[in-house]
Amino acid sequence: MSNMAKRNFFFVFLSFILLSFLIFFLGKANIFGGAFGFFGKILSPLSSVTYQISAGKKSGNESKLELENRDLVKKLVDDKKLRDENAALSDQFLVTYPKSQDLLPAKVVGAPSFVIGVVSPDYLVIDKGTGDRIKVGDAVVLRDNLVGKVAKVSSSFSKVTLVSNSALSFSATTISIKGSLSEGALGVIKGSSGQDMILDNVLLSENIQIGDYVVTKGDMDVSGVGYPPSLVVGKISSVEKKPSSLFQKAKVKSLVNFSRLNMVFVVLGQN
Amino acid sequence: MKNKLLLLLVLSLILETSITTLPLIVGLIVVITVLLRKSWVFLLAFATGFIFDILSLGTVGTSSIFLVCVVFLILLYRNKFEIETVPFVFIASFLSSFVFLLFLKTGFVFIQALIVGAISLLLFQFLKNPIRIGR
Repeated sequence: MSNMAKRNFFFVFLSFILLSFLIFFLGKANIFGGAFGFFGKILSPLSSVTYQISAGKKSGNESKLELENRDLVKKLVDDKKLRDENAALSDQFLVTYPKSQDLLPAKVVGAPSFVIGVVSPDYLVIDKGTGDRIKVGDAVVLRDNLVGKVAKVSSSFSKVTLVSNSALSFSATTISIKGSLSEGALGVIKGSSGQDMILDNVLLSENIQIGDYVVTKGDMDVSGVGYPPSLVVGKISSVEKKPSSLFQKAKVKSLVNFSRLNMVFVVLGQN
Repeated sequence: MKNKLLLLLVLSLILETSITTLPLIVGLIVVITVLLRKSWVFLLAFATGFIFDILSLGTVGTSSIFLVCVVFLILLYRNKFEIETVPFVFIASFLSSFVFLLFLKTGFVFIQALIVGAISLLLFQFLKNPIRIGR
């Protein structure tokens, strides 16, 4: 490489790295709040549009009957979607806790995972944002089960970190339903990969058993942002208790299948 | 070839922000850099990272910084190593995907990086020696 070319190459690299750092700091200052929503709205339905274009290509030599048949199938699919959505809404609003007036229904529009449908996704993208009063830290539920926490919000979309994600940890208590309802053990829920979580930092003197339920202890702040108490986190599937350790831990399995979620509910704080 | 690569990049952007956590854009940027070796790949890496951060609701700029650095490192060593080779493409895409996944804090980092390495390798082989049908 000649000296001239070398200098040119370094100059291009420096320009772009400086530009990247500049937008990084501007992004930290939330300058691109509007851009998030704008690009998201434009590009997120691209996959479905691609599908529709490829399906529409063959329509040239189709008979009237085939077209009618396809329209009817589409109507059936739309009807099924509507019925599922209604069922999800009425099901959620039958649950007395959390109160339905505090809940905002949101559709899941993205759930990237390593192996689609097999491995639990790392996070969800929902179709509600700051315009719908969602704030970072709001809890996301399905019935009375905890799904995750809002990690990032744009004007029309939000990113939800799932409870099974290793980045999340919060305090929780256990509830034993075998025999009498007893006072639960206090611990910290930490995400691991997949559908499982770890209940850690439980004192050795506490009695936890396989089949016990784990619920949130509650860590809402004064504005109502955070996890409400008594939301179901999951069920204990195994307990690890060593006399030499300070604490015991347990594996907790969520009752929600994260890879099949279509609709979730955001617990809104006071605005 | 340029158009094919750009189309693949858009497709991988859509896939990576909606259904998979495999860092396809990193592998693709490595392949594009190795095959084209032009300064405008910096612009491509910057723009790809910017759009990826926006679509995945991440901190804008982080992916751009990473991708621009990857392009820089590959182009920096183009005279010291033979970069247009199978081992280089595999190692470069594997390592860059591995580090990128560590930044994103996703699970199955090693396996995902291996898969991206393999995909990049196939893509590199295919684009370097395209199969000519009907010859």
